[in-house]
Parts: sequence; C-alpha cells; structure tokens
Amino acid sequence: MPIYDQTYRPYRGSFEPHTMRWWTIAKAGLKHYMSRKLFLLFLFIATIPAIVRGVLIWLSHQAAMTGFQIIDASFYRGYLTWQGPFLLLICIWPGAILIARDLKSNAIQLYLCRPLTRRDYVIGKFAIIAGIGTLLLPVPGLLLFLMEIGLSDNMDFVVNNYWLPLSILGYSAVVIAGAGLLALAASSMTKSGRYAGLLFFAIVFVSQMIGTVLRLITGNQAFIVLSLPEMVNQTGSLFFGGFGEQVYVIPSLTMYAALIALSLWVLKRRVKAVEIVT
Amino acid sequence: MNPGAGSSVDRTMPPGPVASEHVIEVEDLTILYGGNRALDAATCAFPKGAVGLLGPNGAGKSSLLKTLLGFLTPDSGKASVLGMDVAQRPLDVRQQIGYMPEIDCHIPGMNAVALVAYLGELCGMPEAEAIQRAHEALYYVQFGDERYRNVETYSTGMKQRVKLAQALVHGPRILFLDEPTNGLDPKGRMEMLSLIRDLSRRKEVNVILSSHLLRDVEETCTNVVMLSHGKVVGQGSIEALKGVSGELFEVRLKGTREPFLKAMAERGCEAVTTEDGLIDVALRDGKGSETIFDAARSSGVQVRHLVRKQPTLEDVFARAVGEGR
Repeated sequence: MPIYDQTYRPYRGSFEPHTMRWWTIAKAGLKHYMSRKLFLLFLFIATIPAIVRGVLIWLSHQAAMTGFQIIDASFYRGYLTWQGPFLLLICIWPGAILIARDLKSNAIQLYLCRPLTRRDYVIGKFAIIAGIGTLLLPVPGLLLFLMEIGLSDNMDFVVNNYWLPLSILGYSAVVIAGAGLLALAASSMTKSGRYAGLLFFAIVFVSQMIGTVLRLITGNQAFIVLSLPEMVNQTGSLFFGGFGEQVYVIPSLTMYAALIALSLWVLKRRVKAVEIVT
Repeated sequence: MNPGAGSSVDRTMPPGPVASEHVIEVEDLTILYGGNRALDAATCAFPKGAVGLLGPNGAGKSSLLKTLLGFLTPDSGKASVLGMDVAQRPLDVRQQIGYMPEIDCHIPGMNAVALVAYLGELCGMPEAEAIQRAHEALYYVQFGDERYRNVETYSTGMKQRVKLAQALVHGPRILFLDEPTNGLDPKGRMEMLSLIRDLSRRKEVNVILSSHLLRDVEETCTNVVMLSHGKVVGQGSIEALKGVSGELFEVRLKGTREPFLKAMAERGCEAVTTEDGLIDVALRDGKGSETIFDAARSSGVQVRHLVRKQPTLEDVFARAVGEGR
C-alpha cells in the first residue's frame, strides 16, 4: 500500500466560530512583518520620537528644569502629528501591497472559496495596518500619558486632562481608519504593490498640492479641506481642542468621511473572487 | 431517481425531481454576464462519488462551480449543496467544499506547509491542527522536503498538487476540481488522476471534476453532467449514456457523402462525419448494419469500410453537444 494511503483521513476536529475569521488574516500578516529585520528596524526608528518625548517628560519633572517643557494636550497632539509620516510609510509599505499582491497571485479566490466573506478579508487586511498603526500612535501616546502621571507629584495633571486618553485613542482611530482604508483601496486598484504605493502617495500629496494652490490663487482658506494632511490636522482639533482657531473642522470631517466612504466603495467593487468581463 | 442509473436515461432530457442522494442539485439556474448567458436555465443533479462536469471552453462549467461556491449570484433559479441553499447559506456551503481553482494561484511569500495550514486556519481549524493537517495533505499529494520551499519556485505540476492539498486540508465532503490536469506532463497527469480516483473511491470524498479533457473524466468519474452554451445537454452515468448511443459503426464511403447522410437521417439514424473523413453511424431501436447498406444503395454510394465501434465518452459528448445547439 502506498504510504499516502495511510495519511489522508477525514477531518474530525472542531472548527472555530466564523466571527473571528478575519483575525487569522491579521495574525498571519502581523507575524510575517514582525519577523522581518527591515521592518523591525523601521519600528525602532519610529519609536525614537516617543523616547525623545519620554525624556522631555522626565526632564520637565527635574527641579533644575522647571518650565523647560509644558506637558499638556498640545504635547500629546504634537507627538501624534509627528508620527503621521511614519503612518504614511506604513500605508505605503506594507499597506499598499496587501491586496495588490493577492490580486497579482490570484490569491483572493483562495481566500473567498473558504467560509470567509469579502468583509472578513478586508477587515483582516485592514487590521494589519491598524495593528502596526496602533504600535506607532496610541500605544506610545498612552504610555507617555501614564509616564506623566507616574512622575507627577499631585493629581492636577489627571484632573485637568482626564479626557486625554480617549482623545489619543479617538484621534488615532480616525487617522488610522482613513489612511488604512485609503491604502487598501489604492492596493485593490492594481496588481502592482509599487504602483499602489505610488497611487497612495500621489493621493496624499496631490490633494495637498491642489488644496494649497487653490488657496493661494483664490485666497479662499476653505480650499484647505481638499488637502488630506490638512483634513487630518483639522480633525485633530476636534479631539484636542483649538476649535476656535481651526475653522474648517466640520467641512474637513465631512471630506474625510467621504474619503473613507469612497475607499470602502472601491474595496467593495474590487475585492471579488471572480472578475467578470462583459 | 439517480439520472445516471439504468440504461433508459435520455441524456437530452432535463432530469426529473432530484432526490436526497444527490450532493448537489441545480434547478433552472441562469447566470448572465451582461447580455451573455453563462448558464441558461440549467437543471442538473450530481450524485455521490465522482462526477465529471464536461463541456467545451465557454460552456459554463466554471460559472456553475463559481455559482455553487457563492461567487456569482444567480439571475434566476436555485442551487443547493448537501441540501443547503447556496444563496442562503454560502458560508456553510463553503465549509463543506474544497475548491481547486483552474488558474495559477498562491499566497506570495509562503512555503507549501505555511500556505496549506493558513488556508486550513481560514476554514476555522485551530492552528496546531491546521499545521498537522497541512503536512498530511501535502504528504498525500506526494510532497517531500520541497514542501518547505517557497511556492513561487514550484513547477506547474507541484503547484497543481499544492492546490489539491489546500482544497483537502479541512476535510471537505465535496471537492471541486477545475481542470486539475492543466499544464501537467503525462506522468503528472497520471498521478493527479490516480489521486482523484483514490479520493472518490476510497476516501469517500465526492468529487466534481470540471474538464474539457474527456479522457480525464472517463478515467476518474462514474457520472457526468454535460454543458454546452450554458445548457445542460446530458447527464447520467457514463455507462448508461454509452448504452443510449446504441450500436455504433465506423463507415468509409466511395462517392458523395451528403446523400448518404440524408438517407441515414430519413431512416431515423444519426450519421456524423468525423475529422478523419469517416462517418460514425449510430443505429438504435434494433436496427442493424443492413440499414447502412440500404441507405448506401439508395444514395448511390459504395460502402468500402464498415467496423463496429465501442462507444466512447467522446462519442456521447459529441452527440450531446451537437443536439444541444
């Protein structure tokens, strides 16, 4: 009897419930990137701003350095804004290749012929970007918040800034959701990860360029809402205050929501098990 | 009733009401791609065991499989797999199906073990069991140490076997194999067919083999469903369908063929010119070879060659497709 006759047998084990099937995709993606030295080096570099901010917090509590650095909401907002370019890089690599390479290798059929929905697939891919983004934005932000509490002699900071953790989480969630979904939408538009990355990069910078040029030509400040980085900046005011200065918060939020909706629409159109050509 | 049972099956008639011994039942299924009808009110039933899904390119085979997998939404009609409506319970259906796609597909950056285990996990298998099953499935499709190599470096034959392993990893009750011998050399083809036979006959896996290669189907399947231009033009057991062909003769004539073909048609017999210039004649209803001579005499041609032929699936298929047009 051939050896293989002894090996194949029906599967008698259990199947896990469908609800967390997306996590399998996310887990595999995160494991893959966390095992790459280049990626770990990138994460280390992306941690440096948090370390610097940590040192600033520590210095601000030294008697000799009183008044050196004021730790308030703007300090944390500044940190999250500083991390924006790192999130941008994550959206380009690995974000923009996540779906493109599945399209190139016809892998989407392999996913969707299993008890897995298109939504599970997209959530799983998005969770990879969100997982890495969480390590870059809210996790260090919250650690810095805890560090400030730990070094404070009294409860003044907590009393005055009790809302900060929620703001850090909320702002990070909004930024990661928008950037991540846009990166996935760009990724689903082409089979080339490079082109997808370029497309994402172009959307971000072309939008900024158009917003700036139109603002300069017309003198109308409202055109800043066309700029993606400015949309994010304005959205930050919603979470960290400064509403008065940033007068285009609601239009920016509307544009941002429209961008997310457009990304979801593109993903719905593009992530399919079969391409129907009529 | 099993449409393949017995010799009285009319391969050109749609089957009657389907019964529970069928693993797949399709009723009046229509799939439109724009204005094109990929499936045109297709009605068929797939019994247990290995069933060949036959048809020329563009006949609707892949569309039918993709509808059963829930990839395509029917424009009308319905389909069920193991009693489950594919439109209502697509996830439950896919849990029971292993699908080997026709196209080259893999997940980049993974070796065969990681790929198969990952796809097993996506079916809901716990990680440890998925890895164990991945090794078993790969061993079954005759992979050795090369299972640890990146899938992208594999030959076509190896990629086909990985596709079979990933379809098997979660222990499906039904396997959809879409052109599984595509691109394989003769040895690879024999090995693949041997695995398919083993799965359907000894491992109790129901196999739906979609192919345009009739020999592959004849070597592995007991039943067939034949499609042409989106329509079901025949179904039943291969043996029964061959029986329906009646007595088959190969004829060579001296003289013009057309009057002879017409004379055969007038006598209620099928006569088809083959690619090599011969004429295949099917005699039914107890008619004997004298009918051929009678037709030749009346049409003024001479019979130079007359050999009784064993009907093949190719004959059955050619006739079914011809009638379906």
